[in-house]
Amino acid sequence: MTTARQTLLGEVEQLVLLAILRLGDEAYAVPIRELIARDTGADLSRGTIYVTLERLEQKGYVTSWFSDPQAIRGGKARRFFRLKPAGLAAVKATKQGIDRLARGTVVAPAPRK
Amino acid sequence: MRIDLVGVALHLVPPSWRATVRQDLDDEARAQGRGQIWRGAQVVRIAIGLRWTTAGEGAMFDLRSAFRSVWRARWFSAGAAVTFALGIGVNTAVFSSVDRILFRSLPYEQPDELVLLRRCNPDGFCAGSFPAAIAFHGGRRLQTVGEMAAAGLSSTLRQTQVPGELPPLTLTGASANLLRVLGVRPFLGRDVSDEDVRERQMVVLLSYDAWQQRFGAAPDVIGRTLWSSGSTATVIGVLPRGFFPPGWVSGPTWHGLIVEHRGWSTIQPAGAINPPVARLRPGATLEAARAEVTALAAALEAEQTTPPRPGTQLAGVRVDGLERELFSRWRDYAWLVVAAAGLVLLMACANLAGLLLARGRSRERDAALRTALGASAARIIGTSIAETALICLAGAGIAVLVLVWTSQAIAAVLPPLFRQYMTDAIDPRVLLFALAAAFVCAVVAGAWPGARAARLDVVGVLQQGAGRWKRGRLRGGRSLLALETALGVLLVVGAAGAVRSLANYAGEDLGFEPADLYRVAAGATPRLAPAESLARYEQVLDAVLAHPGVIAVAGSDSVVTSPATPMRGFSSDRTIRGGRYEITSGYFGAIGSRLISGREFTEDEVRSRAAVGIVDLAAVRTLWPDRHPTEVPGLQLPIANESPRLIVGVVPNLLEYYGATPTPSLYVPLGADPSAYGPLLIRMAPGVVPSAAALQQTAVGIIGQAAVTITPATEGMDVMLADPRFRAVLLALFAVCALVLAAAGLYALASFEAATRRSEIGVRLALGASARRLRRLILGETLRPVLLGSIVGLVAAYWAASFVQAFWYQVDARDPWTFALAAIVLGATALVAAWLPARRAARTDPAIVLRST
Repeated sequence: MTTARQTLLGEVEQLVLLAILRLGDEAYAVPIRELIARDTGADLSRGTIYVTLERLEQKGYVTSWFSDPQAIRGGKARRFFRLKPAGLAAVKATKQGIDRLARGTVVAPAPRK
Repeated sequence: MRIDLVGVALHLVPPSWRATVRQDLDDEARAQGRGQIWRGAQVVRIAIGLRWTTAGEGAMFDLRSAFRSVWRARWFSAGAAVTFALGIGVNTAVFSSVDRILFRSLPYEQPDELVLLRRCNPDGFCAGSFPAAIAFHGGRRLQTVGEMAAAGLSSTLRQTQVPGELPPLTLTGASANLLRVLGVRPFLGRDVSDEDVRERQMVVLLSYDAWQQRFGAAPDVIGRTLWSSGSTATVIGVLPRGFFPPGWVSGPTWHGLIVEHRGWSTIQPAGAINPPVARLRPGATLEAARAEVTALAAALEAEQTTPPRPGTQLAGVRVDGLERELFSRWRDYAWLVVAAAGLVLLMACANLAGLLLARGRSRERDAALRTALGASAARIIGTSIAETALICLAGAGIAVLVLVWTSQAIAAVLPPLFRQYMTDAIDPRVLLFALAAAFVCAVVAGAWPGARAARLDVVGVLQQGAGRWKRGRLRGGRSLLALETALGVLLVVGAAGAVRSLANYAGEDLGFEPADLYRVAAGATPRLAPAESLARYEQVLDAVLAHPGVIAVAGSDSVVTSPATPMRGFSSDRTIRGGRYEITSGYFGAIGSRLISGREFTEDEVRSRAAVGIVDLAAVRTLWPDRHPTEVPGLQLPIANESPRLIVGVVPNLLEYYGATPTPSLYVPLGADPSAYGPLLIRMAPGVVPSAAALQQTAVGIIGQAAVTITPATEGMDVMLADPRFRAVLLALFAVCALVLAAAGLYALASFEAATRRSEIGVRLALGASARRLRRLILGETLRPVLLGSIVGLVAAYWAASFVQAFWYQVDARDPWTFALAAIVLGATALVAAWLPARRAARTDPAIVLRST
């Protein structure tokens, strides 16, 4: 059940959250960008990905942590991202809202058989 | 040595992202086999993306913050905007007046090669006429100067055949070669052709503005006919935008050039023209041109067989660079005006900064909170500048609006040359200036309060809460007030000097009384034999004297009180140059002068053209330096080519204009062949104005068809006072602005000083301190910076005195009384401004204050 006034996610924010959801524990900037490019055809700049990740973290939709350094010479800790419950709820609500709006139109998702 | 490109580029990335960006790029580069350069480039792209978005968002946030802050204190902001509008309004008005004169070069080809030829007296005052002979012969006989061209007096033409249908067009007569000499090509149409000159076709070149406004920018304006009484002219072209003719152009409305092949702009062998312009030939210098023209003038003078007519004398011819001379009289003091206006703007900025500093309570809490949440000093300063910019832009907007509404009034008080070349208030250059000035002031006035806010003791401010202020915060406000006071003293000293100069000018003894004195000139009249013309002249004098209200009448062959006085040798010593005037009897009584010794000419002496003369004091000092003026009547004066004259009287020096150097003058009885009636000088009863219609009738009755013009003698005098009057009014206005700004700043500072010490005052009052003592306490604190500022200002005024001395007339720029006056005026203003807040503070109810702390 959605709250009376829900903040809708921006377009890029939706894509990044969905990508993080798909990638699970392996979500960091590089594969997030590659996945979005592969599935949607949108070639987002690296800067856009980083800014969106920062904004999502500020909003409390994602959390980040640094992994252990990589087991190679000069390996550094990598920053991973994970969805928080608020982020999951937000992306679900946005998706459902769009589906409801599209009901009965040519762009509505086909009913599952 | 290997350079870590990526490491260097990473410094562009915000610190919190550096490690992540490096790691991710390493992975990608490794996977794709990319090198250092690719990585470095990607880092730069990421950094730009990150900075741009965060900065852009930050900037929007800061702007919104600034709006909120300004709106929260809207009355304060409005007040600050209005006081700032004063400073910027003054500067924008000054800029629009001096822009053309100081900042733009003349709209001609290679203007530094153009020269202006004029005829001037040793005082530097130049006549409106020039001997055409020099221009005529100069083309053939001068090597350094090319052909000369002149722009003459105005003509009025009509757009339609029917008079009165449309407003008339005012065109300046020009010689056919004017555009060629100036190197200017018409924007539309063509220049004057040889055929036009041969066929004596009257042709017109319209100004760009006239073409736009009066002819609707129609391309078919070429070939149109314009009408004047008795003749027509054809429009052959449109002048380029921004063009104006050099030299003497009357009035601010000017619709173009007309080539009439006659009159004062025609280059002819004899007669007078307007001062011409010419171009130096390649390789020629101004000095060489001067020498050559002087030599030509001397040669032509030697070739003269008859005495030259008025306006055609060859003495005093000089050559000057056009660019310098066109505005030279005004350039120096245009800069003085710009400097004074700049001081006012500086004061307005200091005022604004002081107001913002003093007001800072809630702004400091904001700043402390933002600093605690991670905002950098740069952002805090940026917000402060943004807030100041909003106030400054509002002030600039108010100023421009007021300027547009008052532009007519401003133009009316400007001296003619400023008015002539004034740029519109809504001209893009003026608007850009106002905007630029607003931004510069915003940075100057907003940076210091911002820097202070960024250096706050965050915890201290947040803990203290409302009502507790640090005394030290007002230190900055006090320094700014001292600066304002110093600038204010400078302006007040300047104003005092200008006002005293004006008083000295206006109080000068001219040697005659211009009030109720009028010049009456009749236009061109038929030539008569000398005896006949003198008889008619006397008839006119008698008839005019009979008119009601006329107390006295006198006649002369030239107008003594007009600036362009002929200079002729009058003694046998040809090296003495002076004025020689032919006058009727009773002349000096009529013009309100007095005799120092001797008597005036009798009517018989005038009628018989007796060999008598009257001299002025300057002539006595030159010719008989050892004699007292009372010993001179009765002496004989030898004169070249004439029999000696018996001197019968001595009169004071008659000054043609304020500040003129007296020239030795000889007055002789009227009787030389007047080719036209000389102007009459009539003295009216106090307050009575002569009737042009009545005088016209009298003139027509005696001498036939004549157009009579009446000019008050004061008109010429007024023109001479225009510059000193303008300087005095302007600097006085600036001084008043300065006092208003200083008063506003001091009032604010005193108010906040009192508010800071509220609890202290409450305690003092509770412990029995008197209200008077508390007032003195507050006043003392606030007036200390005023005292310091006054001292600094007086020192600065002493140093600046050498720059302004040239503009003052019989006033010492370092006069101690002026300095004392300025200090007293500033001090009095400061006292008045600080009194109210001090009085309010002393009336505090200690119980309320102590309860709230």
